[in-house]
Amino acid sequence: MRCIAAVWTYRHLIAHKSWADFRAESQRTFLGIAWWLLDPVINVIIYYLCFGVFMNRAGGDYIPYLTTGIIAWMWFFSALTTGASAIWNNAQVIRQVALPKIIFPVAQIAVCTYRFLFSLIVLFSILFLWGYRPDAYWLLLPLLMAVELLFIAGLTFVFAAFVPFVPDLANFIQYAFRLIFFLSCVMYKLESLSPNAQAWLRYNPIVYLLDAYRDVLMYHTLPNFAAIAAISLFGLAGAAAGMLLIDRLGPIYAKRIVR
Amino acid sequence: MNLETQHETLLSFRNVGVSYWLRQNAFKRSRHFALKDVTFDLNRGDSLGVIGRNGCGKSTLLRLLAGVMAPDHGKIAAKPGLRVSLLTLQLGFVDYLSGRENAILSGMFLGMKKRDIMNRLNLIIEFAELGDFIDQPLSTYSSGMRARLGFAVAFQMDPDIILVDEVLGVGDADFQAKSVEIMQERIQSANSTVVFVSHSAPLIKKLCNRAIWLENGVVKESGETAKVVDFYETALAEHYVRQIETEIKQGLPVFIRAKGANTIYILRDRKVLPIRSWDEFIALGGRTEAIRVVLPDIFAALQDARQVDRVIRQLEANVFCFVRPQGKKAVFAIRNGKLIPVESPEDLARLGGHPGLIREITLEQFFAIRDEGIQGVLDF
Repeated sequence: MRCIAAVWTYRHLIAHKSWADFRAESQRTFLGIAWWLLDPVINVIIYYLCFGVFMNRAGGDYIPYLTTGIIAWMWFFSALTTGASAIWNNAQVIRQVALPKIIFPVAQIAVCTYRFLFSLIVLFSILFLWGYRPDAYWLLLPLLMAVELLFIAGLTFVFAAFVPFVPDLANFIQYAFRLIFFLSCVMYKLESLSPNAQAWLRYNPIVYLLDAYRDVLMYHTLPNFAAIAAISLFGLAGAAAGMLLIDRLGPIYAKRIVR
Repeated sequence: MNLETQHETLLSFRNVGVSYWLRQNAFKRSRHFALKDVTFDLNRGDSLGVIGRNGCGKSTLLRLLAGVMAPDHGKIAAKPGLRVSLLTLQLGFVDYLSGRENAILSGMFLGMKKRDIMNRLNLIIEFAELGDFIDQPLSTYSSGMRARLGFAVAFQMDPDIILVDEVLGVGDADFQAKSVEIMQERIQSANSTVVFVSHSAPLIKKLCNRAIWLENGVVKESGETAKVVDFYETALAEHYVRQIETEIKQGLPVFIRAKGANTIYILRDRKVLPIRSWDEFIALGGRTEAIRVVLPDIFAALQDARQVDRVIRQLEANVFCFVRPQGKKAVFAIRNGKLIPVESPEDLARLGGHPGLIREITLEQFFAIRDEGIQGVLDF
């Protein structure tokens, strides 16, 4: 509870910090903010060439399928990996002023969320070009985004609480989730796998999450609500546990983080 | 005691201690107590000076006060809702953002409201003398400009208790004078409650009404500034003399320089003697890194203190020189009139010498020193 109150109390700081990080990122390169559109496009092209063309998976709705998956995945992956080291990365500030540490991962997730919202332009454009038009199912999109956000928060908060003690954990997360990326049906369809492999991948919640996006945006069907509810519950539990951990460990970080 | 009944107590420390685990290697760690037993009260309107040498626990104390850390034992009681902030310059500055954006971000980290910072932005720009540069990215700033902006922003914060760690002035000479002045005003003001940490006794004396002296994590003395600073200075002078004695026992020449002054002195002839030229300094066996920089008041104490007499007598017995017989490679140190072979460059450095110090002497002189001692042979 205290953590949620803290996020509310410091909402202006979180908003300004994430906006500042967003601005800083756009100032860093020559093309600036254009990269936020280029990045998903380039990723789609790479995976289209590798998996679609060379491995012969292309056909029909492959590109919209791929784009939906990549954009939803990239939000998840970037928020998780950068958010997990957010407390660790702000050691300088943490050692000087008493702030609730939860604001750092929250601000970092916010930055990645802005970027995701931006990349929706790419997603909508590609869907439009491939003949998909908005319908009533699209109204479920905000719900799916909320579910994904909860899922992100659940994992990120827990990891963020521990990375300052074991910085190596940040590297581990990078590798582990890069592996999970290939097991999440981003660039291939579940049905194209052997029944055995399919059975295994059904344990991966991200498969359900990405499919839910595709159900709503591409297939005019309702998503698997049971799976969505399970993911939300998992996210909620994780977020609560993570917040509690960060709150409890709060006074220890300044002592432990020596950079 | 009078002060404590007159003013409301904002914060009190009772037997507070903090320890760190220091990692020796992958499996071993040792416990280090940065603070062992700290007890004091901070009252509204106080200017509390914290004095002590490096490593006495000052920075840990500040972190406890700022609420960045929690104590491992003891108790800290604060008035509910008390806002305590460390005056931190350039906190959270980001290179790619403009001065304006950084000012807002830094101010918010320091606990100010966004609107308040916006309202005072003109004040900040004016004080930092940045003008139109405020909208340029921070990466284009000189270090002086960064420092000015950092100070101007931090100075705007208005917590219940402000913590100041040594930094009073920053930037170039003009700005330094200006920032020192307003900072001093603020510390002395009866409206603000300040904890000022410093190792400068005169500054604490000037700015604070109460002081505590911290040594090895323990409060050695607390109360009225003049009394505390007095104890501190006496102890420091004694410690200093002991240190010099040790150095002399090791055979090193003792050079000192008062902080802020250029002249180097050598301890000799029961006096603190000035050295007039670089050549003289070198000839006496001086090395830049061996010069001890002391605070002006300690320097004065050293000139008067009785103990120094003893120190200097020992010094006189230890006149130290390095010689090389003409045409030979071997180097010798002369100490107490005796020749000691110097084995290696490391050995030379350990004895306080360096290649430029070695005097060449004739073989006759060399044998004369060996057989009869240094007296009458060389005019060192």
